[in-house]
This record gives sequence, structure tokens and C-alpha cells, in this order.
Amino acid sequence: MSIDYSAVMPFMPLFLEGAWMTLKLSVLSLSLGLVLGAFGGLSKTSSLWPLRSITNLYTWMFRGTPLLVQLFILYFGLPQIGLSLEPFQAGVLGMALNTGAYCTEIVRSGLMAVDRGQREAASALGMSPAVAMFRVIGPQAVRIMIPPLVNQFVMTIKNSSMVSLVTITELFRTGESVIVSTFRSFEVYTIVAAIYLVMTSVLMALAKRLEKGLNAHEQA
Amino acid sequence: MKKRNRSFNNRRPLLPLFAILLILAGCSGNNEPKAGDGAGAPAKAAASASSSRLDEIRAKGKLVIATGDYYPFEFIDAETQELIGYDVDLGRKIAEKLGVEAEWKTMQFSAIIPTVQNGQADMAIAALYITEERKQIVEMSDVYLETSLSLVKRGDNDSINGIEDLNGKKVGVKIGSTSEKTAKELLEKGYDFELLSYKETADVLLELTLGRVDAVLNDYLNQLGYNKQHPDANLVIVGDSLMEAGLGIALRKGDTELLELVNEVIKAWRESGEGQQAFEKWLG
Repeated sequence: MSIDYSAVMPFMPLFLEGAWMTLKLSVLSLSLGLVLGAFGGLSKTSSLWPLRSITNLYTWMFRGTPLLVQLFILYFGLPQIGLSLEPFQAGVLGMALNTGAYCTEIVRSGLMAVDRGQREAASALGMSPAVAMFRVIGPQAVRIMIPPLVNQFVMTIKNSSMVSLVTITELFRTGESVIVSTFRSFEVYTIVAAIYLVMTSVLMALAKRLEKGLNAHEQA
Repeated sequence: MKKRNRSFNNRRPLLPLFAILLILAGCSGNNEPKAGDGAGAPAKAAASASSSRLDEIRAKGKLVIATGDYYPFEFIDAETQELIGYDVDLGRKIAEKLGVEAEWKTMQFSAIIPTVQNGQADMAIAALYITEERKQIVEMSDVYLETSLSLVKRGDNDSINGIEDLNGKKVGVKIGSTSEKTAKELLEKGYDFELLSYKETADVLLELTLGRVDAVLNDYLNQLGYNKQHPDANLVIVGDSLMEAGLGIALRKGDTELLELVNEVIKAWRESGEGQQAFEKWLG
């Protein structure tokens, strides 16, 4: 079979719909994941032992098992014990919990990377730990966290292809449907790859701009 | 002139954009071909004494049907981007009888039966063979179309003329399908070939055209449809059919009221000639 993109091009609206679903899933999962990560990162560095333990258990389980297995348990496994989730809910929940575990580690490292002296200086100035976190340490930690967090977002977009297996019609699954109608695997998968690449590239360009802006004051 | 600290001011325009994306993402659920946004609560399919199953569906306003991507039973039309096919026509008839719209959820083959089992779809119409194993876990309707399981090979391969010639070869099947089961039974009977399982039929047939497997067990009708669409692939059916089978609709175990209605529609479909018309249209 020769290469023939014209057979696949009519399906472009469908691909874009799938890409939009991928984007929705990724943004929602990452946002929730960031919230989880913020809480988690702060919990891991807290002095409260139960908080640290729970967070450690969470990151251990969700970083140590494949996303696919997590998704399958949520969507196919839970109904057996009575809890039935919609595909979208299961997809977002699974991806959010997974991303959250990685974000927890990113937040924790970011916080720990801020020089100890900053904490001491803040406390010397009479700031409470909460104020110090908000005005001094937090902002510095955030700047450090941006590159790995962007990385995490890119990974989330790529990982979203797995939710196709819990019946969500996102970009990859759309590709599979189009192949059944056209039997043009090469053309479809290259288009799908290209769309993923466009999404992640736009994201990385935005992130670069963000980084530049945040670091503006460091330039002469 | 001292430059203002641009760092935090630059972040602000991104935040509303982020918030908008979040809200948009949260508002809609899964998108299905030809269906509306399905973000509502999952229909609890547990039969309750007070409301009849059919009323439940009418109240929902839609019949949720799980299906796969399987030419020419259910596949996407290039022009309208909507799901069409033999099964789609049959499904529409059932929805009509109930007075609701049919909402089609497409998924990979292995997810179809679990989705019905869990009540996440009211039924599955996906060119499913009626088998004893499936009857253990889901209800299966009466046969709506007869078919059989065939052995398929590449036209230029003269070494295979029937299952006797499979020894030492590579055979492709679809995971979770009757073709996989039949192949495993052959292995138990003493045949000696390498069994390769793939996620979807499209994958299996591609492997055959590439020569990465020597033969494939596939549904007779699906193969006819494929051959019609791709005469240049030169795949031929050889030997006797491995088993006769009937296609049926799967429903959740215990969903007898809906099953009755489905069987009524199937009976009318076959007797009125509509089934025959659909056959001509999609498989003729």
C-alpha cells in the first residue's frame, strides 16, 4: 500500500476533537495534580509525622505503579465493589493522582532547594513561618519548580493517550477509529504524532517565555 | 529608567487563560461520535422494583450502546464524521422502539463486555459472537445475523490451504475474541503454530498484509467487508469455515425486560426484510 494522506485528511475535524479532549484531560489533571503536589510537597517537609507518612505512602504507590494499571483499577475494577465512574471521571482522577505524586516530589525538591539562609533571614526579620513561605521561600521555590513542572505537563499530555484504554475518545483512540475506516496506519499515526508534537511544543514555548519573564530581574 | 520587576506581572495574563481552560475542561465530559456531552451521572442499571427498566431508559432519554470500530458493522463515515454501519442501523431501530436517541460509545474490543457488565452501557452491539462463555457473564440476544469464523491468508501464499497447513506457522487473532479462543482450542488439540494476539482486527489484518503473520482467524463477514474495501491487499479466505456463529447483542445479566424488547426488534428486523436490506447495503 502506498502512502496516501488524502484518504485521511477528511477526518481532520475528528482529530482536532480528539486533540481538544486530550488537552482538556491534561489541563484538568495537571491542575488537580498541582494542587495535590502543593499539599503533598508541603506535607512531606512538615514536622507532623502522620502527614509525612500519608504523603510518603501516596507518592510511593502512585509513582511505583504504571498509570495504566491505576486507570484500569479506577474504571474496570471499582465497579466490582460498587463504585462506577464515568470514563472521563476515571481518566482525570487517575491522571491527577499520578501527576500529583510526581508534582509532590517536584514541590518538595523545589522547597528544599531554597537556601537555608533565606528561612533564617526571614525569621530574623520577624516573619512567621507562614509569611516566610508566602513572601520569601515560596516565590523562589516556584521559580526552581517551573522547568520540572513543565516537563510534568508535557508528560501528562503524552500519558493521556493511555486513557484511550478506558474508553475515552481522545486523540490516540480517534486515530484508531480512523484506521478502521481507512486502514491507513502510517498516515494516521504520523498525523497523531504531529498533533501531539504541536501541543507539547506550544506548551514548551509558553514555558520558556514564563521562565524568561521570571528570571528577567537576574539579567544585567 | 529602572525596569519594573516583570516577573510576577508576566504571570498574571496566563492565570485567567488557565482558569478559562479549567472551566471549559470541567464543563464537558467524554465526547462520543454523534452523541451529546455525556457528563451526567451514570445510569444505575440495578433493576429496582418500583421503576421498570424501559421507563428508566426513557427517562434518561437515550439508549447507551457500547461498540467498537469494526468495518462494516460500525465505523466512521469520512464525510459526516459520524458512526455508521450494519450494527448502527440495528441499534437505531432498538432506540426507535424505545422512543429515545441512541448514544454510541466506541471503545477497544476488550472493553466492550466489561462496560456492559458494569452497567456503564445499556447494551453492546459490536458484531459479537454468541458464545457459552459470554452467556455466563452477560445476557445475549437471539441471533441477528449468521456468520462464521474463517481462515484468511495472503493470496500469494500457496502453502496454506486449510487448518492442516498451519503447523509451524504464525497465526494472528484478536485478543478476547472467539477467534482467539478457537485458535487456543486448536493448540490444545495438538496443532503446532505460534499464536499472536492483537488488540484490534485492523491490526491483525495489517500484520497479515505485511507478512508478519502467515494466517489469520477472522470473522467471515468482516473479511468480506475488508476485501471489498481493499482488493489490492489480496487477502483470501481458505479452507472450510472453522465454526458457524451467530451475532448477538449483549446486555447486563438480569436485564430481562430490555432483552425481551431487543429480541422483539431482532425478530421484526429479520422477518420484515429490513435485516436483508441492511446486509445488502453494508455487506453486499
